[in-house]
Amino acid sequence: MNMREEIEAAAARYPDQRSAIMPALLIAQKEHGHLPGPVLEEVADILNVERIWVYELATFYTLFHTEPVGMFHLQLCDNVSCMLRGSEDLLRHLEAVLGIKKGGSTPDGLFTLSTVECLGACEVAPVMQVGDDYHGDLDIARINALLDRLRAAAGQTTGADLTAATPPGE
Amino acid sequence: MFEPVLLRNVGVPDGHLLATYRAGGGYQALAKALHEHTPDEIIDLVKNSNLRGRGGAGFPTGMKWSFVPKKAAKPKYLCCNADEGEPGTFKDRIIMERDPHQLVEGMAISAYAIGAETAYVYIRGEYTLAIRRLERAIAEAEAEGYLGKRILGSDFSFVVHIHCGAGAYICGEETAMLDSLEGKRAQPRLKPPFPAVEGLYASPTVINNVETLACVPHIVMRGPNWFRGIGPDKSPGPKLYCVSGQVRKPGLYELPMGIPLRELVEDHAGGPPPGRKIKAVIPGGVSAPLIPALGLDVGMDFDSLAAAGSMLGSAGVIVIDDSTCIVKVATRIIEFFHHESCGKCTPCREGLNWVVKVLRRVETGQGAPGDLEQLKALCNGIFGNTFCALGDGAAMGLRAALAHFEDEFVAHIEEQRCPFNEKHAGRELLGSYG
Amino acid sequence: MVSVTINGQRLDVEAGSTVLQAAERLGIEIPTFCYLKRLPALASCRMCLVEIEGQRRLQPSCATAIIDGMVVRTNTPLIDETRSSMLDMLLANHPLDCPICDKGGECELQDMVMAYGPRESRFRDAKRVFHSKDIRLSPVIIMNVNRCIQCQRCVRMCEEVVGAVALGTVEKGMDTAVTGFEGSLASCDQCGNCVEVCPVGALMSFPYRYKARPWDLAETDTVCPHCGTGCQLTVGARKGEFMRVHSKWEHGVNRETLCVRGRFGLDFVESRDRIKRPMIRRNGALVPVSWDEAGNYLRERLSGVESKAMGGLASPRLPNEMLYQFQKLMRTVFRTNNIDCSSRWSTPFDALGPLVAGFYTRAPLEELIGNDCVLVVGGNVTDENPVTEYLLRDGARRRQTGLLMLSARPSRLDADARAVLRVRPGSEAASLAAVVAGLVAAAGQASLADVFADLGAATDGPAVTPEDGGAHRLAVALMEGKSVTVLVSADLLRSPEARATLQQLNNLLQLLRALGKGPAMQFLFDRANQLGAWDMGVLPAVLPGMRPVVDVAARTTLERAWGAEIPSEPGADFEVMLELCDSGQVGALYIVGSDPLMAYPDREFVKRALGAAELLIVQDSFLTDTAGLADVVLPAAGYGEESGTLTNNEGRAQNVRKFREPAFEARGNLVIFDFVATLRDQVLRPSTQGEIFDEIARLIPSHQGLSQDQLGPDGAFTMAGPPPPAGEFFGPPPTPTAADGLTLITGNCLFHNGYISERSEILNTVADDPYVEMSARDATQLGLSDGDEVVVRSAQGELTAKLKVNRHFPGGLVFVPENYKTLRLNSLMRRREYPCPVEVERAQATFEIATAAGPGL
Ligand SMILES: Cc1cc2nc3c(=O)[nH]c(=O)nc-3n(C[C@H](O)[C@H](O)[C@H](O)COP(=O)(O)O)c2cc1C
Ligand code: SF4
Ligand code: FES
Repeated sequence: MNMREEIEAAAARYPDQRSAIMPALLIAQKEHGHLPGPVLEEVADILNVERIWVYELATFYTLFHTEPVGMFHLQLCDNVSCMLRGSEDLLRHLEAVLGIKKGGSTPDGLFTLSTVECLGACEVAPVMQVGDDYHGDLDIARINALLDRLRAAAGQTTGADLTAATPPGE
Repeated sequence: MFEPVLLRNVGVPDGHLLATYRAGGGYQALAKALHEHTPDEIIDLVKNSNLRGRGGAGFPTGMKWSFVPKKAAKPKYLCCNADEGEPGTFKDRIIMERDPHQLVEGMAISAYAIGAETAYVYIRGEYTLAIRRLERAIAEAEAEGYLGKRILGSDFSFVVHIHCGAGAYICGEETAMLDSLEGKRAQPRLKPPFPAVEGLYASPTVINNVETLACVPHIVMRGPNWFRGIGPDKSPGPKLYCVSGQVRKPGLYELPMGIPLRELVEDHAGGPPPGRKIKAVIPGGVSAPLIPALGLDVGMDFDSLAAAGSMLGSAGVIVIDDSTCIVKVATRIIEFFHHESCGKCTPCREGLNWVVKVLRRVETGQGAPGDLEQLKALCNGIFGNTFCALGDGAAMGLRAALAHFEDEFVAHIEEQRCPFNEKHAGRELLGSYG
Repeated sequence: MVSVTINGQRLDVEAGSTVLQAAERLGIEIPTFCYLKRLPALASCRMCLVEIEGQRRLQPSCATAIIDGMVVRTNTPLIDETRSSMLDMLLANHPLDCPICDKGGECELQDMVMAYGPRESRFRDAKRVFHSKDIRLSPVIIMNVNRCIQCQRCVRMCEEVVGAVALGTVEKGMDTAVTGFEGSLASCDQCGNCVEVCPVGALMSFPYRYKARPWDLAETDTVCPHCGTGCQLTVGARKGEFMRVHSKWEHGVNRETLCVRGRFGLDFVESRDRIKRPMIRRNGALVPVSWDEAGNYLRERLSGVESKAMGGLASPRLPNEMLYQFQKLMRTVFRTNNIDCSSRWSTPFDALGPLVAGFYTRAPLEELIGNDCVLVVGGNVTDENPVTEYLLRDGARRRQTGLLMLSARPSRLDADARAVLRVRPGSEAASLAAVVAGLVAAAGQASLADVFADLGAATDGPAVTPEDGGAHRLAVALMEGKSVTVLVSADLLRSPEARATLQQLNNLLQLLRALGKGPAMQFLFDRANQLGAWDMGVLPAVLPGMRPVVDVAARTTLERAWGAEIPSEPGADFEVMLELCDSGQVGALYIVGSDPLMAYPDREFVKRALGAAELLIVQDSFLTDTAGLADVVLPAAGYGEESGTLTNNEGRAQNVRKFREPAFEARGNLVIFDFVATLRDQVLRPSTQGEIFDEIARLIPSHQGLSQDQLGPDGAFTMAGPPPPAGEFFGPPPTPTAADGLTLITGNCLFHNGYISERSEILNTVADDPYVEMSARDATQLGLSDGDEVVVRSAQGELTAKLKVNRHFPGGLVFVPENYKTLRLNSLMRRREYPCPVEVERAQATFEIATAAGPGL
């Protein structure tokens, strides 16, 4: 299915096209990596909804990115449970080894580093989400190993094959 | 030893597959409900069980269902609240990842009871594994006729759709969830009208938490009296407790409602790390006011915790030990609420911004005399005046921290530094399961 | 009824009333920000919290419905503290740049802090740095995000009232900002209602920016000159210089709303295109002269043409008093009934008269929209009467009014309609006949035996069947409605089929009346005083009060009152006047405030005809194309330079007021009429506006008993005349010829509706370039895409403009807005042919021709 078909299929689940903006944005972001203006316009056109509605949602929800993000988006939880188990130190470590501040991206476009609110996996805090996958019980050694794996995966593949390279936590 | 009910399949290999679920008696409750009970009887069963919502507010589920008008020109909807954004909470994720059919069956029975033919599961977008597993469970259930047209030969038809959230805590608030489902910015709606009368697409809608719905098949199979026999009569049933933070064995525990918090934290979760003492516990996600160590004998149920000035909320139990600065915890909590405020109402949007500024100053040793009074005044301006409970949760949490640990705040201001800073620096990571 | 006690005062109110409404009735003030009467309660600002006995928390009074026996307090220490606390929080991050804020002096936040706020803020942290620069959202709207207090009035206004859905809210929490798609409002209506309802200086009018302080402005309450909706507004001027417009909130059909033309399009009064001095034609050229010279010249020329026919055309934008005086001048001084008031169509009064007399409902539109069903026939109400459209949308969305649309041109309102019947242009009459047939079928013949017999006889058996799905749906919806309103676009009057259309409307309304639906009817005019012009008798066949010229009694009454004779035969309409000109029979043609050379079909013909009039007198404030052909040009006061009354579509007579003196050497229209009468050695009595109003109130039944002082801030309703004897049904409409090519229709666009909008600098800035609109299907078939330069060609002529593909357009339809001067659309049109068959194709790129020709030169 191409993007339009996928969006239309999603829209069929709702009695009102406007409801499909969120799923459509998730689909579009998968396709384009992020959601620049023309993509938002395309989504609005496909669903035949107001453009401003699409823009509103693309900016309200934190999982949508109107600006480009790196191939690997490192989303480190720094909410209370993770904080209590050392996520601050991990953040400092990540900033140091990647040479960027939180919110920034590495110049090679490989990594974007963010902190996020509770990921809902506090039993394995501290936790970081990368792409679709959760990585829990993190410490500095595990972070280093993870970064190595991601770099290696990036060397072998293009962004499009990423899911194949890093199998989801099944 | 308490025999797990909701987590029965969680440890089982392939517990998420239909075959496993069926082998353990899965979908018999649905068959029983459809063949032996009218919808009203199901509502009565649930009413008699005294099941109260596990999403946070503890509203009696059967009563909520009975508000749905019997005759309505519009279609009715069931919405499953799987947004699980409350920090410290992960129970719904585990149900959906490890035993999704339990939820599907619970939804089918609940929809039958209220007369809904469509359900949306609003599940937070980060939960990719749970989403995939639930999708698969829905597909399996459809293929086997547990969902779809004329289920199990009855007149009841029912479909379940998944709607993925995209990262906004407020979507867990039920009316904001409805707006989000309708493709709007997720902001709470005015009540009345209540969703049961005018909810999704202005149609009668019931919103229930994942765990709440997962209880339903068991109530149908084992009867309301069994359910009421577990824990306090007014707040009964098996309950999932999410324990995290500074304990040796963080994890998800299924135990009766009402077990003492101390037992949960010290016996089941192994207590604080070696050499540390418990300083405080947040019993129900960060919206719940913290309880200082002295108060740990409280029962973990809606009424006992409310009486103790806190709440069961989502049962996200976060343990804080004596190496940790309460000002820092309070600041982080308010930062969370500030970040997640939808921006609709003045006190929450503006008030929390102000609170964060003051707290950050105090925490970093730049507090000034009068700051604590200012914080208390801001709590007064926020609490009770916000549009939804988000702002209240923030204000209550801060009030509790100020009430129980005022000395720590005062010390920050007087010493113009965080007294815990050295301790923080020397602290080692706790590592995995204790 | 339920009872409530507020601060000890008891009151009975309608069930469903809110605490805030009840308090207002008791005169108890409760502060609010997010509340706007017109909108559903949002209850987000929390300013209006009150104590309700038995409730644990304070409740928002704007959204709390009264329950019988409720006890409310609005004046406790807790409430004082809470209000103060809300304001303190709002101020914490508010920039407090009041000295340079346009809103200073009329800011709700300022006022509220004075009344309820803390005297001193305890906030001592850094204010948030949010957007350091103001954001220019559109040519007319600029946003200072830092000042926004998130009441969301603007966004709700834009979506729920205006229906534009251009503004929205991005981000969340403290980062929340009101803006347009990607930070721009380029494609919005530019109505500025968002600016109007903004309580603080967040959304601002760019043209008014930094121009004045509110206390420096002289403010005048008046009426918008742009369309027949007749919105009330307030003009702010400084020393006679126009500064801004804002709405009057509590008054008029529009309350706080206006459209782009009303809010931003009044700067035309400052247009440089004014006629500064009188001019006469000398040696082929117009030369400026003094009034005396012009008078001498005119006296001489008039005496030379006395034996020939006379004619007069006046604009239906002029106030009643001027129009009344004009027809009096024509009838008694020029002794002719050759009078008309439209430069774009000729009104078939035989069909119009009974309709207006029998059905025109002079009542608030708001009431009419309260009917179960509102059928809108013809036109595009969104573009023609935007504020009327807001009310219709509100009716559909909040009052469950069933909107039914029957038109060739799609409009934004279609989205809110219960049924839409898209008709082929020119076949409105046939479609109405189909609706009538459908209604008869739905009603069942038995219950309607009499009506049906008449109708049957008239139509000679139903010639049209309701098989057409749309007509059937409309009929069923009308049948279901307990009460029905029909709103008719004046657009339909321009067609050669106007007579048939009006007849079918008449049939429909009679049938609805017979079915007990008490039908109400109003026209949707695009000229501010069209109904007034008819009432004033600026028509060839009727006298003031819409009484036929041939009605001896009516004529005698007026003759006696005026002390002069009135010709007894109906006169020529403008169409016929032009023909008379063309055949050399017209001595003098007197045109006031109208530009037929721009607007009347067949520009070449109009030019020839006007040129053939022996003496062309043009009285206007602007130098129009028509004025360019005149022998004498008389500079008249423009809008805002003389006072009078306008009658809007509702039949509401309202004061339009002067806010400055006539510019340059212009004189008031009444003064000029006097001047002209004197040249013919006659006097017009009375001659001042107030006295004329009184005469109108004495002589014209619709105005009986009105006095100008009593018009009040909401105006006053004129009255319907006595209903005519039960009408007959009219025969079937001509069968529309099925056109297989493209047909061109025209009309107003949002930003332009005539020669005054064309002279507004701001409207010209916000308006799109001249364009041609057609369906996506036709465009694809012709290999054209949006934005292409295209040529539209008719049998008569051609024009070139940019293509706008409109996906709501039906196939076969081409629309070109009529008021772009540069397009000269009327050169494409032929008289008595509308809609107009055309071809459309891509314009040859001119540079190709140039280069092809290039090397040889
Ligand atoms: C700010 C806020 C966040 C909430 N988040 C959640 C949530 O993530 N999951 C949930 O089930 N309920 C959440 N709730 C509670 C819901 O509003 C609602 O009460 C619940 O879904 C009802 O289901 P139940 O009756 O089964 O508990 C939240 C409430 C508030 C005020
Ligand atoms: S209190 Fe906040 S969230 Fe609620 S309506 Fe007001 S601004 Fe919006
Ligand atoms: S606090 Fe980090 S996963 Fe919950």
